[in-house]
Parts: sequence; structure tokens; C-alpha cells
Amino acid sequence: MRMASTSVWRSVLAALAAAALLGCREDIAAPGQCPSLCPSGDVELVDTTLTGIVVSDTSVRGFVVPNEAAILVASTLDSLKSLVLVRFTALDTVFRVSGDTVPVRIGSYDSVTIELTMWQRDTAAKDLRVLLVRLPAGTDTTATYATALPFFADSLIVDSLIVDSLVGDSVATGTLHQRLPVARMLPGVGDSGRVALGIAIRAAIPTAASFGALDLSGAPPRITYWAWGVRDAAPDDTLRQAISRSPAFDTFVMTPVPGAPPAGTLAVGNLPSARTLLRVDIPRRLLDSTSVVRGTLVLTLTRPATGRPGEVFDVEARPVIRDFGGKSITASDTVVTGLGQVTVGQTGPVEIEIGRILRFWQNPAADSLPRAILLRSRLEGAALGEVTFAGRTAGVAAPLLRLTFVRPYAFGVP
Amino acid sequence: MRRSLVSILLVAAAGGAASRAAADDSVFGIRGLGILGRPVSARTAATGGGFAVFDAQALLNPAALGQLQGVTGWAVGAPSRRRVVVGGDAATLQSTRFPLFGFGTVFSRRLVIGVGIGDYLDRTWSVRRTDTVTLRGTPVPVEDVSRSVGGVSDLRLAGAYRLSPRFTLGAAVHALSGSTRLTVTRDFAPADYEDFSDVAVTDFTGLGVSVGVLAAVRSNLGVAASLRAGTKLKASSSAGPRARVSLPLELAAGVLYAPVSGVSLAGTVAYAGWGRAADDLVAAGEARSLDVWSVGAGLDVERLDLGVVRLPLRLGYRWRQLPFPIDGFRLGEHAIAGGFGFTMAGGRTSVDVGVERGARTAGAQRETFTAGWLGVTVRP
Repeated sequence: MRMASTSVWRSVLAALAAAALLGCREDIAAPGQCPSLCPSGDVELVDTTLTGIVVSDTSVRGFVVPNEAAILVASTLDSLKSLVLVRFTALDTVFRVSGDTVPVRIGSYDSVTIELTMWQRDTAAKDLRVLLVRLPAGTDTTATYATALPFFADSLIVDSLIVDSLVGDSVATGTLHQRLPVARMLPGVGDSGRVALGIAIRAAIPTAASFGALDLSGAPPRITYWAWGVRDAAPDDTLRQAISRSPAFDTFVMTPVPGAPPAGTLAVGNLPSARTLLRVDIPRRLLDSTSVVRGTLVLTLTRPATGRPGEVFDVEARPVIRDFGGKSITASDTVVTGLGQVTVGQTGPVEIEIGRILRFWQNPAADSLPRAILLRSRLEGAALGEVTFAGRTAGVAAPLLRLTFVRPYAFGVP
Repeated sequence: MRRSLVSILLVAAAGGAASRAAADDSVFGIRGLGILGRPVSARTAATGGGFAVFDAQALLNPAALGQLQGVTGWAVGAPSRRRVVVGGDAATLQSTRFPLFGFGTVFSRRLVIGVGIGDYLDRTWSVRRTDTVTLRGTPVPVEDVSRSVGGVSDLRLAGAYRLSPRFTLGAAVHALSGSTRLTVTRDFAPADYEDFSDVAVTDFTGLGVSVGVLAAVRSNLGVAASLRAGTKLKASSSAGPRARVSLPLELAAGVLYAPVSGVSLAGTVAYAGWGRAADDLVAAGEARSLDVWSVGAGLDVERLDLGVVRLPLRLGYRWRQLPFPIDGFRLGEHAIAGGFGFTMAGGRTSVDVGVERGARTAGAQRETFTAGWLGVTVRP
């Protein structure tokens, strides 16, 4: 009797297991043919353009200044002349050998090398050379293009790096490494061991190049001194040591210095970097009752996009969480940010996809958020690209929104 | 008694877990209220539904419940594979449903009661369609997928009273309950466009009653009949719309004949007055529903012994109309069926296996199907 009962349960469980396994397989999607084999509702798409959506706009420059930037820009462009200034940490008069606490007095240096990370350049500009000059050891943020320029006279050039031979003529990025004349790289008397260098470029045509800065992790300019020293304590010995120095300060100076955009226009990008705050008014019925599938903010440029020749950069739109004007707090999650790509020299409108922001605003949790968008360069502080575009008072050239949305789906019953 | 309760609870739990019970997924379920369910046992399915009105496990005739001799639980699983041809496009589909669960027990020498849950309306379907729309002056390829999952289940509490060894009456109350989750999506080929998706859940409720009779005219000839009526089926969508649709008056009758011992022939004819729902459906934007008939006939041979195992063989054919037209065409369905059964555990468990091969057609649109039916009956 007990065996019979066990068999019952075994067979029941086996049958249920078999049924469950079979139940895992499901594919029920058939070809549709409307109207006979389609739901009664339809996905109703609407394409529209909203003008006058910007109710307030403002541009603010100076969020990232050159001495905080991730790049150091050297330029010979007609539109931008720029020189790089780097002051390295001071050289000591002694060095220490690993495992020995007794300092070794530096007697002499037998070689000096420099390492530069070239971040971007225009490969169309051939015969690119990087010129190095000595600068006063006290170089700091008070330097301007005008005050720095005299130090870049040809007669003062310490050395030059021929980029094409170091990294290849078609390579835009790479590390430049070269030995420098020792005598011209030693700290001067009264400089407290400090050495400052100026970096400029020359090429067959006007161009611009950027180099890794102190703020670009792992890629700042670096000079290395190979020093000989004599140990004071016994055993008397002669030692050789490499002493590397990174920047204590770096920046670039330029002319003209970017300023506030002309009245009625707005700016994004460049260094010092500019941002634009747009406060918008989008009809609530569109946000509350539709599904936005695409939203494109269209900006009309008032002049061609500027920057390094050939540079392609992104303008990023972020929803504002707290509206404090230029110091607004924004959402930085890429899930809610929009992007628009710009090529230097571009004259056509800049289109920034902000569908993600509109959908973010459609979330009931975002009801209390200001309807404001902050525009900035995606690589703010690491790109020179700048766009200047018409503001809200520019009539037909004012920012507009191209919106594609789906009306509420008409679910029927039964 | 404890074992009986455990088995009942097991079957009841299985039934609860499969509340979207349905055996007949079909793309044609997109119209009207869906595809009518077939809450029958695997044995009845294997005989083309010929034994439906005599089926103690099915939800059709409450009087048939009187054939139970003790506590009994049952469950049916039904995997199916379909091929759909629509407008020159074809697709092979597959799914598995659990169309029937139930149990019954003998309360007294004359009274048998039972509870069953089965499919009443199946609304599980999905259609995929590609198109090109023009957005911002540019053609944009899109793919639309609409997917409905769920249906309406029929929960029946029934009692059968044996007036005499030859005559049984039955009555039942039916509670209709269920929901469908309709998901509509549009995928845009270009990444610039965010895919669209929307969902609505529609809940269904309704009530019904049924009565039935089962009579042995002679020792080898039986007849049965049932009648069912219902209130309006209430549908309420989470998207807002509501509807009330009249449920049909349903009649079924059948004959069972055993020319020799171990051989049974049966046929069932059923009518459902779905035309009553026509006005309600038109008001909801659907086509007018139609009254429908169904016929099934089958053979059950229990004379085949394979050593110690008796292996009943079954064969049948069925035809039915479905009440919700497709593009103005009445939807019809027919199938041939076959199967077998065997018992285990000293007769305490029986397993029935059936296979159907058939087609549904509406005008030029056609869906062929092969459905398996696996039924387990436990008599602890």
C-alpha cells in the first residue's frame, strides 16, 4: 500500500515536471496584417517643431580656466595664438638612493630628457615642430600672451622636437621623448632649483596642438635629469640617479582671450570654458500625455564653430536639478544627457538630441525639477571647440525644438 | 483522508498557478473576445471532443461529474505548435498551456461535488509587423509588435446527484475571471529614435450557471445534455475603457454507444449563442459576433492489452465554428485527433496522451496546428 502511494506521487511529479519543461518553450509572434490581424489601436506618431520654447538664456565663461585644464594648447592659428607655460617642481641639491637614508650630494648632470604627451593635433599640418624655451622660474598665473611672447624669440629656443619623426606624420596622438642640452636646462642661480619651460609649435601652415597637462592624469610634461653624486659618508662612492620632475604649475596663454559672447548670442566650449543655461517652456500636455521618441534642440550658429582645425567635439545638454544660474547643479548621468556633434568650421545648425531629457521630465518624480538645460562641451577643459549661437531674441534663428512623439495609445476593450 | 486532501491541494495549487489557462493560443485570438477555450480532458481531446458531454473532468456537463467513484484530481497540459500564413508571410509558433485542472469527491452515495478551473477564452497572441514611416522628411523603418498574454478562466463549482443508477442530474455555478496584458511596442531602426512601448491590463469578471443530465438509455447506450447561461462579461482596462459583453446561452448534447465491451463511440454537438454579444462588441469597435456550432465524434477502444498493461486507443474528429469573424470571414476550425492512455500505481494514477492535427481558416488566412494533450488523473 505504501509502495502504491509512492508510485502515485512519483508519476504525478514526473508528469508535472514534463509539462513544466514543455511550458518553457514559447514563441507566439505571428506576422501581422492590418486591419484584420492588428490590434484596434495604432501607434500614432506626430512630428512637430516648437519655436519660442526658450524663455530665458544666459552664457557664462570661466568654468575651467587654462591652468586647470586637462590640456595645454599651443597654436599659431590666425584666430588663436597660444603658448604653453610649464613650471616644474624644484630640483634638490641632493638625491637619495633606494634603501639608504643618507642623502647623496648632486655633483653634476650628464643628460636631461623631456617627455610630452601630444593629445591632439591636425595631421594635415606637416613639418610640425615643438619648440622649447626657458622661462623665468617664477612663471605663474599672472603671465599673459604679451608678457610670455618675448621669451619665445628664435634666439632663445633651447631645442625643438620634430613631431613627424618622433611619432609619424599621420599620427595625431603620441608621446614625444627627446634628450635636451644639459647646460640650458639647469636651474639658474637664485631660482631655488626651479625650471620653467615654454612650449610653442611651428608647422608648414598655421595649426594648433594640445598636450597633456598636470590635470590630465598620467600625462603631464615631464623632465628627467640624470645626476651624478658623491656620497659623503663611507664608503666614498660615486652614484648616478634619474631625477624626474612634473609640473608644479602649467597653463597656456593666448590671444585673443575668449570673452563674453556678443549680445543676443550664446556660447559653449573653449577655454576658459563657456556654458549656456536655457530655461525652457514646453507645453505640459506634451510632457504629460505623450511618449517622446525624439527631441532635437536646434541651435543656429552665428559664426562658424571654432577650435583646432579638424576638431570634432560634442556639445552636451544636461537637465538642471537646481537652478542657480551659472552655478546650477545638473544631472550628470549619461542616461539623461543629450549630445550633439560639431565639427570645427561648421556653419550649419547644431542639433542636440535631448529626447532623454524630455523623457526624464516626463517622469512624475521629476515634476518639481526646473525646466532648464545646461549646455557645455562634453570634454570641457580638454577641448578647444566652441560654438556661438543665436539666443532666444533672434527671431527665426532662436533655438527651436523638433519633437517626435507618440500620442496616447488607444487601448480598447474587450 | 489526509492523502486525499493533499492531492486535492496539489491539484488546486497547480490550477492557481496556471490561472491563464488556455489550450488554444491562436493569432486569430486578436479579434473579439479571443479564441474559445476547450476545457476538456486529454481523453476527450484524443477523441475529437466526442466524449465532451460525458467527460467528468471537463467543465461542460456538471452531471458527468456523477461518474466519479471517489476522490479524484486531474490536470491537463497542452503544448502546441502552429504554422501561420498571413498575407504571404509565414511563421512557426509554439506554446504550452494548461487548459484544465480540477478535483471531485463523493460526498454521499448519491452526491458528487467537484471544483474545476479551465480555459474559457484565450487571448494570448502576438503579431509582428514591419513598416516604414516618414519622420522629419526621412523614411524610417519600424517594427511593431503587439503582444497579448492571458485570457479568461472558468472556475466551476459543480454538483451531480445520482437519481438512479441510470440517471444523474447536475448543476454548477461558474465564475469567470482573468486578465490580459497587452503590450504594444514600436522599435525604430535608427538609434536616434527611442523605442515606444505601452502596456494595458484588462481584467475580466463574469458569472454563469449550468445544468446537465446524464442518462443510460440502455446498458450500452447513453445520452447527455447540458445548458449554460451567463451574465455579462465585464472588462475593465487599466487604460480607462470599460465594456460589458453579453455571454451566450450554450447548449450541448451527446450520445455514447458501446457496441461491444471495451469499445465506445461518442458524439457531441454544441451550440453557443454568441450572437447575443454582437451589439456589445460593435459598441466596443469590434465586428459582430456570430452564433456557433461545434461537432465532435470519437472512438475509444480499451480492448488492447500489452502484457500487464491495458492501453486504450482513441481516435476522433472535430469541427467547430468560432464566433469572432476575421476580416468579415467566419472563422472555422477542424482537427483529427488520436491518443492513448495507461494506468499506473495499481490504477491510482492514469495518464492520457492525445495529439490533434488541425487547421483554423478565415478567408485566405490559415493557421495549422499540432497540439499535444497530456492529462494526469490521480485517485489517491
